[in-house]
Order: sequence, then structure tokens, then C-alpha cells
Amino acid sequence: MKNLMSLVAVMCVGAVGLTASNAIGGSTAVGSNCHVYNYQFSTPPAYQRHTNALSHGLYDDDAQLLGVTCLLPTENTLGTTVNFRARVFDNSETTAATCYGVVYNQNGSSIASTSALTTSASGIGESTLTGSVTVSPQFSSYTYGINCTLPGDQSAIFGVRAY
Amino acid sequence: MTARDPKQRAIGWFAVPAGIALVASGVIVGRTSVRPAPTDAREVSSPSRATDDRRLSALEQEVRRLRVTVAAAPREEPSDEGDQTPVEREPAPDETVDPAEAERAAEVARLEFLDGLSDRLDTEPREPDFGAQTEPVISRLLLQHLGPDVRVSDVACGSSMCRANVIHPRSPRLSEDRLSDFMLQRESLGKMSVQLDLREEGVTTLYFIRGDG
Repeated sequence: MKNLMSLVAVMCVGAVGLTASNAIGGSTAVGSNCHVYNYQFSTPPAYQRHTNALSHGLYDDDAQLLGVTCLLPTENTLGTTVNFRARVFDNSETTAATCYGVVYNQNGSSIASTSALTTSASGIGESTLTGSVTVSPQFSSYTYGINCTLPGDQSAIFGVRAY
Repeated sequence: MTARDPKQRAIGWFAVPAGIALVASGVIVGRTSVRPAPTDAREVSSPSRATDDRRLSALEQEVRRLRVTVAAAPREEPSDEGDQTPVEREPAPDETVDPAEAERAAEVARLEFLDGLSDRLDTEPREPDFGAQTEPVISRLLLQHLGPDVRVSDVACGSSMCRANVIHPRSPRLSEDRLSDFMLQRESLGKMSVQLDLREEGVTTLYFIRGDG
């Protein structure tokens, strides 16, 4: 009896959870899905030390910036206002982490960019950066990404989202 | 309250609702599917029966009219419900459109959007302080980050946005890694979002927009 009631409860919750109104387009990626596109170093340091994040490999606050790009596959066409979010770890006492959300056309050319998304203070630790940009008209062949520069001292990017 | 045996509770949970459901379904089935046939030709219709017959007749006429309408309608507008025969489901609107045609339409709409930005800049009043501070920064940073092969021309600001043409005759498009460097190190320009007009090879027009995101 108890099992039956539990089953009914689970089915009810599932039915509510699967209603069409909850279908929201967007894409999320963990930081380890990002990749380095520009070391700005003479010798690239070890940078991939986490399963779920991408971090700067040096312990130096003033290390040269690590350029990373996080591309976000999206199945649904997003709205004409595209929102971006990046969760970063700024551990440098001297330099901020900076990102921007970018929209590419089907040929891979940038067509729109958010304003710069920067940690409010150097060494602030974990921080969520958010921004949005108008994409008019929106189209299904557009792709989205978040590009960042990470400062030194193990600063990292944990996850990104476009929606 | 006294503690009850689990079996009794189970019966309580199911027996009462099941009984109610059984009675209700019996009543409904009885009313809808069992229509007493007239037993006598002399039976006189009551006023309510006459009203029901008129309604039924009107409904039957309506059904016949709808069938004719549906039969005459084009196949791409199937009825949503009530049709038991398997009907090939129409693909989503996005899939019915020729992708190349949709791409062209999107490109046209994109150009209209960019033309709108340009018109807005040309018609809005110029904010002198904003222009005087921003125009030199745009020229300096674009030249600094986009490389020695580009020229920057026609930098202009209004009150809500600025525009700059970047001429790069040696390549049809700006280098994305240089563009990324510029985006990440745009200093005070970082407060503005950017729209890029790529309609012409060798020239990229950038719009810097205040207060967008």
C-alpha cells in the first residue's frame, strides 16, 4: 500500500514537472568543458587540474592572463535577449577575471557581444558574472559562447550558462 | 483514534472511492448510452423531448456542415482532434521552411536591425561629453588590439551608442582571436554591448550600445 501511494505521488510530481511550461531553452557547461585558446605565456603551464573546472596553473597573482573559451551547444533557439552567466573563482589579488558572452553566426563570426563581465574586486573569490545582449532577429543556426581571461593564482571557471 | 489494521486502512483508502466511482460511472453510462426506444407509436413527445430533438437535429446539421468544410479544406490544415485515422504529423514550422530561404530571411531581418541602429545614431542628438570621451578610446583600442593590418574610420557617437568602421582589406573577416582580445580588454568600452555588421567583406562595422545588457 505504502509503495503504491509512493508510486502515485511520484507520478503526480513527474506529471507536474513535465508540463510544457517548464521547457526553457538554454545550455549549461561545466568549466572543464571550456578550453584554453590563448595562453599568453612563453611556456604553457599545467592548467587542467580539476574534473569540473578549468583553472590557471600558476600561483603567481601577477601571472599573465589565461584566455579561455566556453562554447555552449543549444538545442532550442533562444530569445531575442540572450542571457549569459559565468561562475568564476578570482583568486588573484591584483587582477580581475573578465568574461563576455558572444553570439556567433553559422560561419563562426561574432555578431554580438555582451558588455564586459568583470569580477567586482580582484581576489574576491567565487563570483557569478551575468550579462545579456540583444540578438535580433534570433535564428537557429546561431551559436553561443563565453570567453574569459583568468588571472593567476589558481583562478578558475566553474560553469557557464546561456539562456 | 484507534490504531487500525493496515488491511483495514487499505480497504478504507480504496473501497470508498471505488464505490463512488462505480456508482457515478453507472449513472453516466446509463444516461448517455441507453436511450429508451419509443415503445408505442402513439407515444406523445413531451415538450422537453421535442426541444432535445430540435437540438439533435441542429447538431447533426452542424456536423454535416463541418464535414463538408473539412473535406474542402487543404490537407495541411488537419483537425486537431476527433480524427481516429492516423494522420502524418506536420513538422514544426521551423522545419517546413527551406533552411536556405530561412537563412536569407534571417539575414535580411538582421540587416534591417543593423540599419535601424545606424538610423538611430544618425538621428539621435549628440551628447558632447560622451562623444568626446569615447570616440578616441574606440579608435585607440581597435587599432591596438586588431593588429597593424586594419584601419579605423568614421568613428561617431550619439547619445545612446557609437559606431566605428574597421577596414581590413587583407582578409574578408576580422580575426576572431584578435577580436576576442579586444572584447576582453576594451577598458571603458566594456560598459557597452557590441553589435557587428558583417555585410561587406573587408569592412566590419561595430556598434557600441549603452545600457543593453
